[in-house]
Amino acid sequence: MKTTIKYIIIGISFVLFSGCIGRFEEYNTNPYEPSSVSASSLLAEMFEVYASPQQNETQYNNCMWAAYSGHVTATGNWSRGKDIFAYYNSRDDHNAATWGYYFGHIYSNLFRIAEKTNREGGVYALAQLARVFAMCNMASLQGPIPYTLIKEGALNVAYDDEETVWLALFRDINEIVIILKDSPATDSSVSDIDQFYRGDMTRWLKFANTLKLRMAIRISGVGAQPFAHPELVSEMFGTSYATVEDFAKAMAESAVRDGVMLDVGDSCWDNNNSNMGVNGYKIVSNNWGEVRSNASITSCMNGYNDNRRPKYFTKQTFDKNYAEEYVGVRSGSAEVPSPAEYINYSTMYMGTQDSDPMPVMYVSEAYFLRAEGVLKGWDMDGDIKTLYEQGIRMSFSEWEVSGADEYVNNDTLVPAAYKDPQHAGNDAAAISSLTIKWNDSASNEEKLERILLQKWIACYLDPLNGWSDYRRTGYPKLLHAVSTANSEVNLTRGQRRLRFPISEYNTNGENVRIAVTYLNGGKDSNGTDLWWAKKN
Amino acid sequence: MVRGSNGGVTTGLDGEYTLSGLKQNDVIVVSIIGYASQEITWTGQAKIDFMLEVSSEFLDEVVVTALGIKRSEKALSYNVQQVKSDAIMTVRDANFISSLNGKVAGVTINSSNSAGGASRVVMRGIKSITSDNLALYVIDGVPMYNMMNGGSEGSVYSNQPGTDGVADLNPDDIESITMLTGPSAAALYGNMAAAGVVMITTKKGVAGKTSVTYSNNTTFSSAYMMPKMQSKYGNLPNTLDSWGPIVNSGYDPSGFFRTGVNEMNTLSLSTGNNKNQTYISVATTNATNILPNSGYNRYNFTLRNTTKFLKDKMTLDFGASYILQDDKNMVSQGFYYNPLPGLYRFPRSENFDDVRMYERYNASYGVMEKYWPYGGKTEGLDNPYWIQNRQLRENKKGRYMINASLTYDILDWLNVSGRVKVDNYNNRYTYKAYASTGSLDGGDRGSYNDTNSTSKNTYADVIATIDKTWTDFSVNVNIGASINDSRYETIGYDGSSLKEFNFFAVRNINFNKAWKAIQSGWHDQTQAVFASAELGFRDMLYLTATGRNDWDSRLAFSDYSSFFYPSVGLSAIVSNMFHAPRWLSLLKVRASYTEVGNAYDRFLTTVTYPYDEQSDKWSTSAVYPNTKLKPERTKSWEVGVDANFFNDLSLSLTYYRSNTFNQTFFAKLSESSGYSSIPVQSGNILNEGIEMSLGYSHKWGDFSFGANYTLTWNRNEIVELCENAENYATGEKYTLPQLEVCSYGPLDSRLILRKGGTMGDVYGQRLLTRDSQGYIEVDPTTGLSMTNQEVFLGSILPVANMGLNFNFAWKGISLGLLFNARLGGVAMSATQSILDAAGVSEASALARDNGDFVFNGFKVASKDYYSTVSGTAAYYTYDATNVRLGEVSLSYSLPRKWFKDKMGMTLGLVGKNLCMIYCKAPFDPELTTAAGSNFYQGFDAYMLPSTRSLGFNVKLQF
Repeated sequence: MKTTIKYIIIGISFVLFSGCIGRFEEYNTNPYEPSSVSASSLLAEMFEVYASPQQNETQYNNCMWAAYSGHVTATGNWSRGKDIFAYYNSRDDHNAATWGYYFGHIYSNLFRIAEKTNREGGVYALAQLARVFAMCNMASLQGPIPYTLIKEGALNVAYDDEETVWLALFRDINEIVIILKDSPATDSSVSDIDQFYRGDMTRWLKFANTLKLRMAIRISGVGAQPFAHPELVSEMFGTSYATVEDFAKAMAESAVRDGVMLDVGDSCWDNNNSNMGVNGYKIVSNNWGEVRSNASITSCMNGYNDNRRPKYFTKQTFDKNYAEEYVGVRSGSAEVPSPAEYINYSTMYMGTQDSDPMPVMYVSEAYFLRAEGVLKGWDMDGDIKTLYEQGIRMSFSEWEVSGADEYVNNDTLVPAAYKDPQHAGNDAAAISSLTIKWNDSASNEEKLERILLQKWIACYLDPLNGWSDYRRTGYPKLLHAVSTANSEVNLTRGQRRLRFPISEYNTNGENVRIAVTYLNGGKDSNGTDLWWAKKN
Repeated sequence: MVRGSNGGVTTGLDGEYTLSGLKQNDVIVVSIIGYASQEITWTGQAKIDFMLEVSSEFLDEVVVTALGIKRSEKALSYNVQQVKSDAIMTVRDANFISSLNGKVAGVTINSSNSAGGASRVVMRGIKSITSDNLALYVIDGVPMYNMMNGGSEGSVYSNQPGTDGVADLNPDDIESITMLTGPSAAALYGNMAAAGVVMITTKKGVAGKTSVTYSNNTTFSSAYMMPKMQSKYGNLPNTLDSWGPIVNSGYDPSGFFRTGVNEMNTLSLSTGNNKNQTYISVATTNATNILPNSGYNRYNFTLRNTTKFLKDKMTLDFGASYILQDDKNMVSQGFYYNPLPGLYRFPRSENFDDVRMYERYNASYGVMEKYWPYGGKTEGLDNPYWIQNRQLRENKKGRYMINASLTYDILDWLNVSGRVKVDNYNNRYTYKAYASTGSLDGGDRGSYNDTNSTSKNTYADVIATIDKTWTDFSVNVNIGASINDSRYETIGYDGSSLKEFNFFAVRNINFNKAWKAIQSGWHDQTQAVFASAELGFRDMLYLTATGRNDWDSRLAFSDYSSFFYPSVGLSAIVSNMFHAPRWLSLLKVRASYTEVGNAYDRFLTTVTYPYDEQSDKWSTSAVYPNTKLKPERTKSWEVGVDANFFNDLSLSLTYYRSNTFNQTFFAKLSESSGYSSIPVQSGNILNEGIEMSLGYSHKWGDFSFGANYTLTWNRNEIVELCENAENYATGEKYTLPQLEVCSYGPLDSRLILRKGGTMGDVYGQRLLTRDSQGYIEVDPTTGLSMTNQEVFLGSILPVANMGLNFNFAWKGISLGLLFNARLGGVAMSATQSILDAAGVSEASALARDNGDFVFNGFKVASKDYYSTVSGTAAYYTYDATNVRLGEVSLSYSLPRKWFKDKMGMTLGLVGKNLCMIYCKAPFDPELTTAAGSNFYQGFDAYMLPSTRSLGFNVKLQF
C-alpha cells in the first residue's frame, strides 16, 4: 500500500513539474510591450512637450490656464461652478495636469536617453533642449521647481529657488548651443522622428538661441537687482554680473550673435499632430466645443481690421447680420460658462482643420524680442523700427496674408471695445488705444506697449508667452475675469502663477514646504508674484 | 432503499416513492438529511407511510468544502454557509449572484443596475488595496476565472461596464451554493481565494428516477428611485440651465424609461440508474432593460453524465456546457454612452417631443443627422434616443466549459481522483456610432470599434484521499497537486473616422485619420501542491491542518518565487461530550488560524515600455520597477459557535479578525523623480467582524413557519499604511502619510487612505466660507464664496448588513419575505449636485418657490447658491443606511393528484425591491456601477435608477 501512495505522489509530481516553472519568466513578460526602445523613440515622446498636441494636453496646457494669454477662452465649467481657471480658482486636478505632463514626459525619457546615448550626439542634445524648454515653462508657471538636483533614482528632490532655476537653465542652454553648433547640418539619427525640422540642426540652433533670447527678456523683468547667489553665477558662467539685468543683456546679446530665427522657414511647428494626424485644438474646439477665441484678441484685431483674422478665427454663427464677424468669449464671464452657450462664437480656425500643424515658436517672436532688447539698450543687431515692422511682416507672411505694408503704416485704427452680443455683463472697453504704426517719438512705455501688443497678436496660440509678458510688463492690458472665486487673487491683476499640485505635498512634502518659503511672501497661492513677473 | 441492495430511490417533492421487486421481509430504510433514519420490514403492504423524527445529530450534514472535498459539517473548524438553490431560484435575477443578497452572513453583495450586469461580492471586508477583493467562484470544486467586465477604474468618463463570467451560469443547473467566507475555509485554493470563495455545486442526474422539468420565470421591472426633478421653471433662450421663468412644461423624464422584461425558460431532463446518471438542460434568458434598445440575452446548454464502472470502483463524471450570451447598450453610470444626462438636464422650456425624432435628413451630406440643438456634449448631454439607437455598444460571447473527473476507489479507505476542466470563451465587442454623433461639419462619418477577446483557462488536479475510521479515532487526509493556466488575448481596431458614411467594417476605417490598434494579452499559471489532514476523536473533537504551496508565474523574476499557506483548526462538539439536555440539540465550538497569500499583478517585476495610444508611440514606463516584491499575506483567525435548540432554533456565530500585510500598492512619486509611482510593500489592514445567522423553523400540522436572520458586521482599519517601506533601488526607507486612491467625477471628494482610518474614508476639499462667528459669509458684492478646507465626509463602507427572511407554508402554498438592511456608511451624489446647479432638480424649484436663500441676513439667489456649492461633496453626501423589502414570493404547488400524478405544477408570484422603507440618499446606495473597484462605490453620477420588479413563474415537473 505504501508503494501505491508513493507512486501516486511521484506521478503527481512528475505530471505537474516536468520543467513547467521554467516558462514562468516568459509568461510574466508582457508580450506586447517592448523591453527596450531606441533613444530616438524616447526623444519622440519628449517632443510632445513642445505643442502638447494630444487633445487632453491641448486642453490642459493650451486651453485652460492658457486663457490668461487672451488668445483662447475655455467655455466649459465641467460641473464645477466657479472652481475653474477662468475664475482663478481651479481645482487641483486641472491645476496639477501641466506639472504632471511636463515632468512626466521629460525625466523618465531623459534618464533612458542619457543611458543609451552616453550623453552624446544630436538625440541627447535635442532631449536636453526639450528639457530646458519644458522646465522654462514650468519655472514660468510655478516659480521654484526641482531642477538642478534631479537625478536618476532620486525620489524626493529638493526645489531650487527661482534664481537658481533660471541660472541653471541658461547654463544648460549654453551647453546645448555649443553642441548644436558642432552638429552636422542634418542629423539623420533624428530626421525620421523630428516633426519640427526633419533633423535640420541649423534650425534647431536658431530655435535654441531664440529660446535663450526669450528667457533673457523674461528674466529682465527682475530689473537691475543684484543676484542673491552671486557665487553660483561665477561658478556656472565663469564671470560675474552686477545685476540680473546685466546678466540678461549678456545672454540676449550672445543669443543674437549666435543666430536667432530670421525667416519664416525658421518658425517651429509641430507637423505631426498627435493621435494620427488630428491636432488637439480640433478635438477640444470642434468635437467638445470647450474652447473659443478670447474676447481680448478678437476685439483688438477687429479694431485693427487685421487681415490675419480669417486665418486665426472662424466667423461667429449666431447672427449673419451682426456687426462683427469675429466675436470671441470673455474668460471669467459674468455667468459661469457652459460650452452650449458659446458654441456659435468664433473659435480658432486651426480648431476646424484636422491636419493643421500646431505652433511652437514663431520667427516673429525673435524680431519682437530683439525690438524690446533695443528698447532696453541692448545690442540686438538692428534698429527698433525695422525689427518691430519685421515682426509684423513675418507674421503676415507666416500666415500667407497680404496687406502687411498698409498694416504697419496705419496710424488711425485702434483696438475695439468688446461687446458680448448675448451676455451684456461681459462687455468691456478696448484693451488699448494705441495705433499700429511705429512712432519713434513716443515714450518708452508706449513703445513697449506697442511692441508687446503686436508681439501678442503675432504669437497667436503660444499661450505661456502671452501670459508671461502680461505678468512681466502689464502689456497688453488683457481683459480680466468679471469676478473671482479666489480671495488670494487680485481681480484686475489676475492669476499670477499656478500653485503647487497637492500631489507634491503628498509625495514630496518636506521639499515643497521649503519651496514655498522661496516664494514672494512665502505663500503658495495663485496670486503670488514670481521673481520676474511683478508688473500689473 | 432496501437494506443490503445497491442504490435506492429518491422521493418526489411531496415525499412520494415507489419501490418495485420487493421480497417479503426486505427492510426498507428511509433516510433524509436532518432526520433520523427509520427502518420498516416489508410484509407485502401496498403503501407504507413514514414519519421521521428529527435527528439529534442534525448537523451531521455533509458539506462541500474546498476542492470539492466533502466533509462532515461538524468537523469543520470554520464557518461555511450552504445556500439551497431555492434561494436563487424563487426570485430570480439574470445574474443569480444578486439573489444571494441578505441570505448569507459575512458577505456584502452589490448588484448592477443593468440586467445581467456584474455583481460585486466581498467577504469579510476589503483586505487589499490593489487587488479587487472579489470572491473566487468555484464550480464543482474547480476554480473559475471570472473575467470581469463590470468596470474597474471608476470614472465618469469611462465606457459602460458589462457582465462577468459567473453571470453566464444557468441558475437552474445549480444544486446548491456554499459560501466560504473566511480564509481558513479557502486556504486550499491558495492565493486565488484570498478574498473568500463562492462554491457552486451543479446538478447531476438522479438514479432511479426520470424527471423532466420545465420552468418559466417572467419579471417586469420599472424605474424606481429616480432623482426628484422639476418642470415648473424653464430655461432662458440660448441657455441650457433652467433658471428662467415659470413655464410649467410638465416635462417628465420618467416617460423615457420603459418596462423591462426578463423572461427565463428552462427545460431539464434528469435520468439515471445505479450505474449511470444523466442531466441535460436547455435554458434561455432574455432580458430587456428599462432603457430603450438595451438588453441581455443568454442561452445555456448543459450536459452532465456520471458513470460508475470497474465494479463501481471507478466513477467518471463528465460535463459540458455551451453558453451564448449577448448584450446591447448596457448602461450603468457616467457622462458618456449614457442617455441620462441629456434626459435629466433637458432644458425645461423646450419640447422633448422634438427630441424623440432623434434624426433628421441632412441634404448636403445625404445622411440622417442627429437632432440635438442644446449642446452640452462635454457634460454628457446628448439626444437620449440617439445614444440608445445610434451609438450601439454590443457584446457577443460564445463560451464552452468541458470538465471530466475520474475517481478510483483503490481501497475502501483510499481513493485517487483526477480532474480536468477547460473553460474557453470568445467575446466580440463592437461599437458603432453613426455619423453626426460628433459633427458632420467636423468630418464625422461614423466611428467603429471592433475588438475580439479570447480567454482560455485550463485547470487540472490530482488528489489522493485517505479516509479511515477506528472506534475512537478517524483520519481523513487529502494530498494533491494542481495546475491552473489562464490566457487572455485581445485584439481589435478602434477607428473614430470612417471612409463611407455609416458603414461599419474595419476596412472602412480611415487609417489616415484617428484610429487605434488594440492589442493586449497575458498568460498566468499557478502550480500547487497541497495537503490537508483531519483527525477526529469520538465524533466530538476534530483537529484539522492544511498546507499549500503555490508557484505563481506572476512572481517570476522576483526574489520570492513561491509561497506557502498553512491553516490549523479545531472543532469541538460540546453537546456530544456530555449528556446534553434535550433542548440542546447541538453545541459546537470552533476556532481556526490561517495564513493566505495573494500574488501581486503580473508584469510588475519587469520593465517594458507601454504604448501611448494618444501619441502612437512607445512611452517610457513611469512605474519604478521592483523585483523585491513579496506576495501579499493575510493572517487571520476566527472563533465560532454553532448551536441548535429544540431542533427548531439554530444559531451560528463567528468572530473573525484578519490582518493583511505586504500590500503591494503604487506609491505616487513626485514627478521630478522621473517616475510617477513605485510599487511599495507595507501596510497592515485590519478587518474584524461578526457574521451571525439565526434561524427558526417549526411545523404545526400543515402549517410551517421559518425565519432566518443574518448579520454581517465588519470593522476595517488601516493599522499601518506605508511606514519605512524599503525602496530597494536606493536603500532609503520610504514612508507615505496618506494615499489618495479615488476621486469622484465632478465632486471634489477623494478617497484617502490614512493610518487609523478605513479603506473607505472620503474627504471633501471645500466648504462655504464662514465669518468669524461661524455664519455663512455673504459678501455684498461678490456673494457666497468657498474656502479650501479638508472635510471628513465618512466612510463608504457599511458598518453592518442584515437580512431577515420569513417563510410561511400551508399545504402547497408558501409565502416568502426578505428584508435587507444596510447600516452606516455614506453615499455621494454628483447627479443631485449637477441637477441642482442646472435648476432642474425639485430642490432647486422648491428653493425658488420659497423665495431663495437667506444667510446671515443676506438674500442669496437659488441659482447663485447652487452654482456655488455645485460639485462640493460636503453638501452632497448622504447617510447610506437603508432598509428595504427586498423580495416577496408567493407560490402554490398544485396537488399532483389533480394531474393524475403525471405531473407536478407550481405557480408563483414574485416581487423584488418592492419597497424602500428607509433611505436618505437620493439614489439606491447598494447598486454598484464598477463591480471591480474597491473604491468607486456609493457614488452616483447619472446612475441608472434602481428597478423594482414584479413577476410570475410556472414550474412543471413530469
